[in-house]
Amino acid sequence: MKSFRNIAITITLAAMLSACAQITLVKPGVTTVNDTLTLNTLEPWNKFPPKNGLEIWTVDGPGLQTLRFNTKIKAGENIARQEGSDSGPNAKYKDMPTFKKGMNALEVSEMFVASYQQLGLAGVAVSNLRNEAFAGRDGFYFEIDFTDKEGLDRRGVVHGTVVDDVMHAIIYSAPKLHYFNRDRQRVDRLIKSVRFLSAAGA
Amino acid sequence: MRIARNFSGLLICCLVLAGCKTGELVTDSQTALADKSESTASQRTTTPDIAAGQRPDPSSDEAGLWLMVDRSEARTKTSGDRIRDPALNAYVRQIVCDLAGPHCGDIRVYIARVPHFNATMSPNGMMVVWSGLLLRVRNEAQLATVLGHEIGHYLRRHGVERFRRIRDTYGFLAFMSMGMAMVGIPLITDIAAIAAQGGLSSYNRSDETEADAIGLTKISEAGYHPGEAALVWDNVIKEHEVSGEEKQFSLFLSSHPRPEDRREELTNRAENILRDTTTVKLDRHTERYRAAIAPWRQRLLRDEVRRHQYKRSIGLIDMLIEDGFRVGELHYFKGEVHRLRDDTKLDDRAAALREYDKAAEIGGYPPELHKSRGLLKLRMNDRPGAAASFRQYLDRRPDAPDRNYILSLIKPASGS
Repeated sequence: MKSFRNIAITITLAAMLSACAQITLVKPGVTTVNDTLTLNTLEPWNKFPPKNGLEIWTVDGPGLQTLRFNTKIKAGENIARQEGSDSGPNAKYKDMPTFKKGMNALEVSEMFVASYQQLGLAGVAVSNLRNEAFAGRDGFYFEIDFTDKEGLDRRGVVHGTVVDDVMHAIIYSAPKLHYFNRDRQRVDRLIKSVRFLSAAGA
Repeated sequence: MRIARNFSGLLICCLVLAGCKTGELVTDSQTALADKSESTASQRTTTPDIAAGQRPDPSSDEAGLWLMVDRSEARTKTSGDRIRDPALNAYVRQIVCDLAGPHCGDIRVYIARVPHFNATMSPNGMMVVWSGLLLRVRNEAQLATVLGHEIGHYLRRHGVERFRRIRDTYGFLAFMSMGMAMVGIPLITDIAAIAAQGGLSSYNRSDETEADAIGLTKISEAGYHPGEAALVWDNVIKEHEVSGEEKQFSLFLSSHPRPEDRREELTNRAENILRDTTTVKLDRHTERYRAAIAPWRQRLLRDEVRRHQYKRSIGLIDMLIEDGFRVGELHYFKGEVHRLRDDTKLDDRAAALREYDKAAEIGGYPPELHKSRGLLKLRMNDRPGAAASFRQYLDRRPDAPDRNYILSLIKPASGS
């Protein structure tokens, strides 16, 4: 019951946020993400303006599901794609772990867990870590469970690869209750269609 | 209606933060505000102590304050950060009750999984103990010192006094905007981010000193060694010193009385208590405390390591090693800090291996030590060594959630 209430609050917040941001429609078909990847989506998505190599898509609102295209993460960069600072809003990124050359999938998953914890998410845990092709290349996959600030349990799946010491990842996350499973298949189909643009240097 | 609700949410932010015991690196503007409000403090009329079971007059501003903080407490109850372990909660709750006496039923205790040294008290009796505090105090007497201090804030109604001072000095809207500036984000449950941003407010000097004195009296009356109170601050100061230039020192340190002053004040008061009282008990309850946190110790250390504040964590773990409780696991986590920092100039890889070796020699470390050693050897291109360590990990942890991936790391070496 509590979870439904939390979802209702999330929907409201998402609606409020949606009213503010410049969201554009991603129509079904082949599209390009971050000038790095191409993919084919069978369903329409809503897209937030890309920023610092991070592009976020959603169907019903970011509180209900997000698809984060986090591309071209170089050594020294964090997954929030934010510079840290000694004070102010960016202080929370100051100690966020950064991608390092030579990291394997297990170390990448450790980086995600510490990053999520630093952002105030609770009970962060990784499971089903494995090697899995991404965009036709050797890649990795893992699931990441956590509880958000409102006490809502969420699950994320991370698909990624490291090419020439640059990491690319797509993270799908949603509340475990209803939404994660509802959209899982459409996300899986979309992920399978992902390819690198030849000019992306990958 | 929604706007009104949002405003009430913001106000709750302010109040929760105003209820905090301590602050972390207040910004210049916040310092200025604090200084001004402190000057107003000298002009205030003293609010009488709250009686056991007392609730504010429904027509008072204090009642409004409580109502809003009650709503905040409802969110605290469902917060994802909350540690719900019944045994740990019962343990902390019992200490609070022993200290609070007749006020026991007026104070609700929540434990938040936030790896910073802090505890907060809201005007309505909501006490939040942060898990970083549990990692750092060495015994029950030290934990009781902090809890007793928080109870002091409640009894003296420092929260409502602070609210009135700020409201009277700056007006209600200014109070609201200051709350926003402190928080920087609209979610009140995001205490980890608030802490990272250095946005917590603090009571003024006289409130803190008064709460220190009350806390010391409370722990002495409850039979704890009063000398442990000053040691809480001593440890905080040492941790700050070892953290060097890193910003994220303890939330205690920007409270208005300097920690060195508080340590001295508490030392003097403790000496007086010990001199004047012949019947005083001198319990520390170190073993009881260790038994209570033992099931959580590795999780607390893991949370600390994930802060990626390397110098601080290494310094803190060194201090805990000196304390002597479960030293093997401490060496493992110190090795983890070195592995994650992986700074070649600081020779972190060799340091990490040394710490893992010490942990293995002493024992009491988690099986993940072997995985970490394997990862490190892999980085050092020692594939056979890595494979051997990974096998040890899987032998010790056959149900490891990352078993299949670890096996994939072993295969290339075994095939060569």
